[in-house]
Amino acid sequence: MTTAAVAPATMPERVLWKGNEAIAEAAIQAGCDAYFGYPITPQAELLEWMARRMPELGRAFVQAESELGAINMALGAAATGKRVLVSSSSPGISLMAEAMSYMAGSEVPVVLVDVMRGGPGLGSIGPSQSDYLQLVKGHGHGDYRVPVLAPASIAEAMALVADAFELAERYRTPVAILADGALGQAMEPVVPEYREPPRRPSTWQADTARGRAPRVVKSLILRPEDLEAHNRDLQAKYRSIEEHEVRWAGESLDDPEILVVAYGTAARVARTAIARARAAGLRAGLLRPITLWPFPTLALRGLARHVRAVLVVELSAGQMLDDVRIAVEGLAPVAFHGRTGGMLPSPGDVVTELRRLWSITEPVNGRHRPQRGRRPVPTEPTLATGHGEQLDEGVAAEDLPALAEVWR
Amino acid sequence: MTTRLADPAPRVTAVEHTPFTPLAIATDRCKGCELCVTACPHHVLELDQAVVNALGYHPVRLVDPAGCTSCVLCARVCPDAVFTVFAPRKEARS
Amino acid sequence: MTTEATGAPAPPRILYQRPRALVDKSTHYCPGCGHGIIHRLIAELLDELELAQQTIAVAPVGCSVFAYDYIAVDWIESPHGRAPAVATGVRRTNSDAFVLVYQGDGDLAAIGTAEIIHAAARGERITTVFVNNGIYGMTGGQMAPTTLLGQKTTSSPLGRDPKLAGYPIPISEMLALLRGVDYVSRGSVADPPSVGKVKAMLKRAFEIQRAGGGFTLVEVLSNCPVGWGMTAPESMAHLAEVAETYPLGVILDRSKGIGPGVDPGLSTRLAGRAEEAPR
Repeated sequence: MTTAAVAPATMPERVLWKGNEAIAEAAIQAGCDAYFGYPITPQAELLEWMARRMPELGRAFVQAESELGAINMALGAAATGKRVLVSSSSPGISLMAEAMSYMAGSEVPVVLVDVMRGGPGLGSIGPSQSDYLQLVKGHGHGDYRVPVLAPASIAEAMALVADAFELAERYRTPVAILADGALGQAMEPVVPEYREPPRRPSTWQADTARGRAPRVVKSLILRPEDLEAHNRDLQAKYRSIEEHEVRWAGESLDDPEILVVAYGTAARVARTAIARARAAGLRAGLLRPITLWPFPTLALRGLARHVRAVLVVELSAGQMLDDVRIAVEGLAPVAFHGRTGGMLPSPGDVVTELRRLWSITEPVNGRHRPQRGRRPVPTEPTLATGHGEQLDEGVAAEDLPALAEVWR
Repeated sequence: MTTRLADPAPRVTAVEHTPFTPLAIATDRCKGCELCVTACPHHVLELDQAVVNALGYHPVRLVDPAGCTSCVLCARVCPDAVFTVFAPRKEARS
Repeated sequence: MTTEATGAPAPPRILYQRPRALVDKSTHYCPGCGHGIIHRLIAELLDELELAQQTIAVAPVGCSVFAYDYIAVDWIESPHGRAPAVATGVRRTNSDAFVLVYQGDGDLAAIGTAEIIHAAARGERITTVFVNNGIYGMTGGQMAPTTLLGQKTTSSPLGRDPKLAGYPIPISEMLALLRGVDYVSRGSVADPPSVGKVKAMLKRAFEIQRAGGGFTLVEVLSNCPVGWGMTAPESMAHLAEVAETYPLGVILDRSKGIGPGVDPGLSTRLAGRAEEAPR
């Protein structure tokens, strides 16, 4: 097995690195035995990095004939107990849904990176968070879940790659890393920190019988009683993941009057907006889910009791919004601000929305009280362009280098 | 189809060597497809209409052990691998 | 043969018995289905070549989805048609394993066309057993890409009409054009001699894989008595007609210089290792 420590491709302590490449090298350093992919922007550099590095290390790399091919190659390699990475972007992720369902059913661990782009259809290659519902709600057919990790920086993405392998192998499940075009394409300085999770002993994989009883890695269980029992086991596993693996990060959560919920690149925009709002006397705070499933439901519910309103910011028309509403359970009004198609909300847009929410809600003293007699807070998913209020212009994907300022 | 399970002709249901028979047939596995009956060049196999096995089929039986030459063609076409074929006893004949 | 000391007859010599690699259980296949014959041939070869302990097999979707219940090796279930991709993943990360793929004609020649062609083009060192019975048996007997012209199925009730449903795909001949492929042949389970030839073809393919060769595939014309509306013997006799559309024989054996446009000098890897395979 190719587990011996491998000299990193880039040695300097602090490097300026493109997200896609950093994720690829982090996977290599995490002991990835095989990578399978298919060219698609905005994740092509990940494939290219692997194309050079994996053969150099004597590990498996195949550019498949399609995303179907890639994910099924991943299934094959992972079913023999190998540590496998596969990556794509939104349209390719759709094609991978079939095998993801098989892997969930037959409990094959694989790490899938989705560098999301704008949709629907061929859409655009601009940064977007358009695949939340697709991956977080189960991806393929059947009744299953996939842990979904959402990094907000390149350094975090690198750390989450190793964590994803560990989660996948501990729970024998596919795990997805949900990044967007901005994270994949942008360069930022990182101090590479690598981790190779320990290997688990062979107990289930089909890696030739050699003296033991033959094994079958499969999802087909025809007897309804048996399939229900298997599904019950899967659900018990999912409950265990929900209990133990929820991850989120918070900022300015001591005294927020308005809570912003955002992940990935949207969270970075929100962070800047919150700093500006606080400078102007509006106390906002950020809850940034790192695991989108399992969602930080309880953390969010606890915070929702004490805030005037919750604002969800996404690079979508409102997908995580559903999970936020489920978590908030009506304890506070929930508003939404999103941009789509590769457009990003600007911090100014978010500040404007925070001010508007502040102006139409009442303070909450310790405990949330339902608000009566006030004009209702619009809680339907409202695209920024639909507000009719004065907005900043937003940031086009083409202006990505300018984001460096936004993200500091 | 109602089958009278009475007075079946002698048949081999397990490895049984006295008197010598060149075929052992796992009749519980036989699905009565008759591929062996068709393939047998000596016409010594037929379905046992007096028996219905646990799978619900009339299993094949060797009707004429003396006529079997152990040519293995039955085993070669059998989809259910029910045949064990033994070498003929040349010494006994000589 | 007798044992002199006791005078009791020695146990008779066994000429044929159920192979060890064939699990001791009844299959779900219909009476007379060729899958059982092909499974048995594979199991016989796994025994004879002592490959069972080092095999990773990939199972398809279709009637043979339960192949893993019958052949005692490690198996991985594949989504419908994706078995060659799954096997590629196995191959690339398990260099010592013997990699076997079992696919039907709906699986391989319809939904999985891209996967089989590209696995072949890459020259993946895997052996595919391609069972062609011209029908989707598991789902109730619908038309397959390999269904003969005029053949009635539940989805071509008036017979396959090329104006509506195009023509049968000679997938083996297509694959034989690819440089990554080292061996392609087509046999039939119609009768004992044909079954013997299929076994020889499979053995040749297995040995090419073991010797480090490229992609190998054995297509086996098989029957579907229930789907074809025939008795098992009738369906086997009908295979002669099927073979008029799909000619039997070795289509490509690169190291022997057999095949379309094959230059015998191209492949020296297997020189001298070739055994007689039926033509």
